[in-house]
Amino acid sequence: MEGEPTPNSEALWTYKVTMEDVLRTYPPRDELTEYEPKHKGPVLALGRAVYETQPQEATDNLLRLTQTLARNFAPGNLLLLPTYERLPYPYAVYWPLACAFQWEEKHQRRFDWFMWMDDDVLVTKNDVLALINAAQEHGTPFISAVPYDRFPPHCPSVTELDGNGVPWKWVKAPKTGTYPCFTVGLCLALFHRNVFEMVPEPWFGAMPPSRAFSGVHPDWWWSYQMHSVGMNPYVCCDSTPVHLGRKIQVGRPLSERWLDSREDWTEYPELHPDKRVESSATGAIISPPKRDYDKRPEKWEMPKRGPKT
Amino acid sequence: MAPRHEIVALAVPIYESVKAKPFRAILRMVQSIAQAGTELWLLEPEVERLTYPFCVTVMLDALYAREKAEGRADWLLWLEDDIVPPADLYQKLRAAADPADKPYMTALAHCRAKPFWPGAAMHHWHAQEALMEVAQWPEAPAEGVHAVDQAGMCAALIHRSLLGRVRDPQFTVIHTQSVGMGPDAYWSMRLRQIGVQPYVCCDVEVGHLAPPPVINRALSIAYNEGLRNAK
Repeated sequence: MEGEPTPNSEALWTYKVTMEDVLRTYPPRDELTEYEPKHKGPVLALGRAVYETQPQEATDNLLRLTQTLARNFAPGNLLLLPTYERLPYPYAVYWPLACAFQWEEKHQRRFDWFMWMDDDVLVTKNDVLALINAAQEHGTPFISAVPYDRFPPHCPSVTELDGNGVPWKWVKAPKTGTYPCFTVGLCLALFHRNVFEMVPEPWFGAMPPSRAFSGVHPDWWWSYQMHSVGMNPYVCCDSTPVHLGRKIQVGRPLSERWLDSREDWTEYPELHPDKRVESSATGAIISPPKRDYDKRPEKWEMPKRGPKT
Repeated sequence: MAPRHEIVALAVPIYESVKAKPFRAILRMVQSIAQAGTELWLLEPEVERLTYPFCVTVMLDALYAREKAEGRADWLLWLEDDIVPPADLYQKLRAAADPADKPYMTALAHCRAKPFWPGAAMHHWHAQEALMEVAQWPEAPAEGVHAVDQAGMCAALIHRSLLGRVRDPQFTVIHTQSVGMGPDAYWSMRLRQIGVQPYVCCDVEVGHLAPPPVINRALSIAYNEGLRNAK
């Protein structure tokens, strides 16, 4: 149809952004003044994408994670990179990285790792430790946790090549282990500082999705760039962060499906099928009050209610 | 009065959530358009959490999908999710716009960052330095419809014919030697490349939600000093 957007190479290359563009357009703010490395040991720079707000579950999780990381890295060696409000991909990831580079210039010391998290993932201490251990064990400068797509069918956002060089998508991830792959998502990813000298820019890019084409996400773009210099991204199956999906839509279908599919009623004893009765007044299936679930009446009668006098 | 036989497609790209103030204002605007008898298509993109320029692309996808089933829309009303529109936004923009002469009409909006200038600018080309100076309006005219070189897209009425005339990429982000260019400035540039003049209608103004202020001693003192000076 006339005027329909055509996701083509022109659109792809128009949105090509490099660190130089980012520095020119969004100069890094000096918000890392309190991070002065006084100790040896690795320096971890933690960057997160926050467009404008982030979900409460992710906030709670991040507080706990920061507490853990702060215990594992020397004072001054954990850089909590700032976020730039309402900055889209690929700037969202480029800009915190620019701040980390600026920190390097100021202190004449390089950071060792750049950890990138999206704002809608829940990450545990074990997820992070598994990632760091796997990166060191396999000697890879880039490794990602298993990211699950937030849209159905919620498959792992990982592809591997078949013998003919065709990318196949993972449907179920291996239970454990670390593997080279073709592309992997960036929900939770660990970059060694050196990788930014090995992989050419643009490190992060994007092209628009449309009905005809899913688009290229910043994470896939990064994987392509790694392959362009003969490097493989790695995925660590022992690191399994949770991706917050859309809010569920609760109605009769979901309610009844939940009740019909449940087998363990320990948490909700009053809802056990044996405790339910059909209301003689309304025909609804009803259950006793939670505190009295074991005192099911022989016959249920709707309380009589009249106007207050 | 907007013509009743026209179809207007409303696109509000919401990243993840919409704040209460714009939400209620948008509802009132939709009520106003519906009561006036104009056919209103509420576009719903299939993909969420997309920022510029991709949020425009998915909205256009939604528009084209509906058109395949129901025929062609006349206007696209674009409204960002941090904009508080007046209830009669569409009627006023439509009254100022014209499919042939003024197919791109924007409402007066002010930037959400300091110094909060109007989102409209003129371009001055300095040939000797080979530099394009973007002269943003420091203050908007009190009223009237004004031709500008670039207009913000906080609230914009786009005639459907423009989507077929401007070639891809229609909305994107580019960089000049000194400054980045947002999707609204880029769209204005693409329009002018095909001889279409962007306009700002100062007779209809929208509110723009700024980041919430951090209230502390300094802000409190500055605010109260401002009050005293005003007296």
